[in-house]
Parts: sequence; C-alpha cells; structure tokens
Amino acid sequence: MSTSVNCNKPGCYGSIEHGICPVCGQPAHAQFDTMENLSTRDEVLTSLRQLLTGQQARPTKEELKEAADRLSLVAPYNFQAWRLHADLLLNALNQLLTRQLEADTSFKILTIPLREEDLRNAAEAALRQCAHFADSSEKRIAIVDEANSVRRETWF
Amino acid sequence: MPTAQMDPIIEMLRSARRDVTPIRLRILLLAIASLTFIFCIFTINTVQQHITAVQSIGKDAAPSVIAAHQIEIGVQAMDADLTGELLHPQSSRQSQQFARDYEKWRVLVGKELIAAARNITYGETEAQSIESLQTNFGQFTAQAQSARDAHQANAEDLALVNYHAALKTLQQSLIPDAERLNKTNGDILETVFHQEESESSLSGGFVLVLGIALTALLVVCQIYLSKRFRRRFNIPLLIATATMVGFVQYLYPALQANTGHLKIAKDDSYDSIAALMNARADAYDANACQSRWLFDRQNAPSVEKSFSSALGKIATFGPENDYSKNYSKTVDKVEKQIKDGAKVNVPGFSGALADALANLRFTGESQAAFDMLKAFGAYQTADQSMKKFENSGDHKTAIEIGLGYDPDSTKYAFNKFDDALVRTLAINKEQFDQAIKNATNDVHGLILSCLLVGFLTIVCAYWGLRDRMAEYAG
Repeated sequence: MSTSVNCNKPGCYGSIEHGICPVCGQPAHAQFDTMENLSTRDEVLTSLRQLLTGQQARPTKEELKEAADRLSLVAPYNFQAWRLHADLLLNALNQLLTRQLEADTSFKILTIPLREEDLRNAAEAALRQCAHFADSSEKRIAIVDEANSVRRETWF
Repeated sequence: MPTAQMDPIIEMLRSARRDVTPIRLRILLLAIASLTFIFCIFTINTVQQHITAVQSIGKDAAPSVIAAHQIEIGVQAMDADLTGELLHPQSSRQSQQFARDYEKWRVLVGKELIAAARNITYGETEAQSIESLQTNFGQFTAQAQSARDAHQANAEDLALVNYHAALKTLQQSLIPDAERLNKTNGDILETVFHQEESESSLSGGFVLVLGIALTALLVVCQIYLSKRFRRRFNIPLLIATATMVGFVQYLYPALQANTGHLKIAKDDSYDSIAALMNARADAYDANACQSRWLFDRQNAPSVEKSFSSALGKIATFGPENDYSKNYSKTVDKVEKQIKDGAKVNVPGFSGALADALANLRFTGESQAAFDMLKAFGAYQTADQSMKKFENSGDHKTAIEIGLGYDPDSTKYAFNKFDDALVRTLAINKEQFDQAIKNATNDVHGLILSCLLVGFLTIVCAYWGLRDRMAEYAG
C-alpha cells in the first residue's frame, strides 16, 4: 500500500504519481528555490549527460545516486531536462533488467525505489512529459513510442 | 494532379512504410471501418437476395401457380358437372346434385381468381392472363347457363349447341389462360430458384470470407496494440472481435439453412405439388371428357382421344395392348419399392403419377400416393366397363356407371383417386409452407443485426484506438 506524497511546488496542491505531479507536471524531487539554480541548470545537465552517455562502463549505483541528487536540483523546464530524467531512470532500469543492479526498494533515484515496476512507471511518465517538449512531431511520436515500449505491461 | 494534393497521401503511405505508430493506428481504423462497410453492404445484399428468393418462390409465384391450377381444375369440374346435369332429366335428384356441384366449383373458381388477382407480382403478362380469365369465365358461365336453361326447357338440341359454345370458351380461352398464368409464375419460380441456387453458395462463401478477413483484421489490430503499447487486451476491440465472430458464426449457417429450406420447398415439395396439380387438372379433364363422351355422342371419337391423352399425362404403364398386365405389374413393383424404402422407379411407368411417386419425401406421402395409383387403376377399369355398356347400346347402365357413385362406378373410383391426390397434395403443401416459414425465419432480422454489428464494430474500433491515437496528439 502506498502513501500519497504532496507536490512540493509552491502553490500546487497535486499528489505525486509515478514520481511526477499530474497537476503541475513537475517531478517530486524538483527544487523550487532560488534564481541562482537557473544559471547552473545547463551545466548540471551537460555533466549528467556525459555521465550517462560518455563513459564506456555503465554508471554504478553510487554514480546513479549522485546523478539523481544533482538532477533533483534542477526543475525540468525543457526537453533536455525531461529527457535526462527519463534516461537516468532508463539507465537504472536497464541495469536492473541485465542484473547489473539488484532491486532495492530502500534505494531511491529521484524518489523512485529501485524496482522494475516503479522505474518503468516513472520512466514512462518522464518520457510522456518529455514528448510535450518535443520540437517536431516525428520526435514526439518516437518518444511516445519509447514511453509505450518501456511501460509496465498491463492487461488493458 | 497537383503535387500539393498528392503530398499528404504520399506522406501517409511513406509514414505507413516507416512504421509510424499514429499513422498505423489511423490506417488500421480506416481499414476496419472500410472492411466493415464492405462486409455490411455485401451481407445485406446477400440476405436481401435470399429474402427476395423466399418471397418470390413462397409468396408470389407458388400461390399463383396453385391458384392457376385450381382455376383450371375448377372449370374442368364445372364442365363435368354441366354435362352430368345435362345428361340427367331436369329436376331429377342426380341433376340437382350436379347443379349443386357446379355451383360449388363456380364459387371456388371465383375465389381462386381473386386470390390470383391479389397476387399479381410479375407485371403485364400475369395481369393480362387474369383479366382474360375473368372475362372468359364470365362468358363460360353465361354460355353454360344458356345450356342449362335450354335443358330446363327440354330443348336438348339447343342445350347441346350452347354447351358446345361453352366448351369452346373453356378449351380455347379459359384453359389456355390458366395455363399461361401457371407458366408465367412457374417459369419465374424456376428462374429465381436456379439463380438463388447458383448464387447462394458463392455469395454465402464470400460473406464468410469477408467476415473472416474482418475478424483477422481486428485480431491483427489487437496484436499490434498489445505489442506496441504493452497492453495485453483492448476491451473495445475484444468486444468487436467477439461480436463479429458470433455474428459470422450465426450468419453463414443461417444463409445455408435458408438455401436448404428453399431447396426442400422447391425440390421436395413444390415439384411434387406442381406434378400433383397437373395430375389433378388432367384427371378433371379426363373426368369431364368421360361425361362429355356420354353426352356428346356425335363427337365421341375426338372426346375419347382427349380422354386418353389426359389419362396418358397422369400415368402410362407401358404398351397399350397389355394395359392390365402392365398396370398390375407396376402396382406390385411400386408397392415393393415403397415397402423397401427405395426410390420408386418402374420401367415403362411414366406421367405425373410416376413423377409424384418418384419424389416421395414426407411421412404419409407414400401411402397416399400409392392409394392414388390403386384408385387410378379402378377408375380405368370402371371407365372401360362404362364404355362397353354404352357401345353395346345400354346407355342407361353406362350413365349409371359413368356418373353414379356406386362402388363400381367411375365417379366412386375418381373420388377415391381425387381424395388420395388431395391428401398427397396436402402433405406436400404443409411441408412447402413449413419450409418457406423456416426459410423466412432463417433470414429474419439478419439485415438489422448486420447493421448493428457493423455499427458496433466501427464504434468499438474507434473507441479502442482513440485513446492510443490521442497519446501522439501532442
């Protein structure tokens, strides 16, 4: 049984579902603090992108945790940011599926427990959010396809 | 064609090739809607063909054929009763009995004329035949009444002249009109049935193929959604698929059952009815000839010819010089074949009676048809006896045998023959009506069901794909 968590965005009264507030569209971990964050967003995103895609070996559990912590400082405001959220979750999911990581509900990435079902739900939600910011219909279609391909298989 | 107008189509086709999900979904929806539309159009057309065939055979043509036969039988019976009346002294018991019978048949012919007129469905030819029948029937009854009036006035020569006029109307107008009406409806019935027979398996098969194709398309769509969206089942598509499978499973056997019932109605019942009605018309013709042979002695040879011709149409049993022997052999063989449950087929035995015996299908039919055969033999024996007395100059005994109702008389045997024939007819008519009723029930409500199933399939397909397409809407 899960308890509902309220969105931490000032003025928003939504409850978090799959790591995202359905009312304001912001992830549960988003920090809505000061203007100085805004200036460093791009830097954070670039470094995380390198972490996830630049190295040969897959990021370790600790690296994922660090990346998640750094990403939680950035409120997703564009395609790149949401993409990065999704990629982080997908990376964790892939490692889980390839047994490089073990499921661990006490370990959380962006407030999402390290468990296949939760990661799939969160990655799907992040990708759907990402699709909203896609600059072309082809890209949007591709991302929605990706969201559907990653989602937890359901009966209906 | 302008390039700008072609672009969206080409783009859509290219996208479809590139496996662009929303385009694929739209194509699937369009394909389901189009195939459903084609399926509905073709199914409705096929069902309509079946309904038309049932209507044509069971409700338009067959009743008219029966009415035409009844008219022919009725006027032949009126002729026989008229001669019977004219052969007996006025005011005699027999004469009054014949007058009553004449009146009974006159009323029946009038009713059948109205029945035929109510059922004019095949245009001018049928209408003209009925109009002509109506006019000539009036003329015949007027001429017959003149003959009866002359007989009442003891003016037998005038009665004979008036009778000849009535007979001329009967033979040259009434009977040909009735036969034309019969032929018009009979030909249409045959045409409709053979058309239905040849087309039904093809159209029924095509409906089945379309139904299977549509079901397959719905299944493909279901699998596509399951793989692409990781959703195992799409409820609206499941509903559409189950409904389509159920409908096709009901539709195809229903069409086949309709064809089967129509075949029973036509091949097993109607053909027997037509053969029996022909036999009854010929029997009444022979009966009228027999009375006429006694009444119109001047024309006895030609009447005898007509009599033999009418009997020959009912049944012949091989070489004429060996009639009794052939008849007895035929009866024995038919009885044995009926007992053995084999199809009645005796070499040399032909005519409407042979046709009816060869087409025994229903309970009680074989006994009734066999009774006909036995009564037919008794009738011919009585006729030969009557003619023997007449030719030997014993006119009174000949009349007693020819027009009386004693067990040795021709009328007794004729009535037995007619009773058995009517019994056989009733069995076939009952089966015909039942088969037509079943055929009607087979296709009842199919058009409405098809429209509902088609509508439901399209709505379910849209309902099932709408949310998936909306995911890509931006």
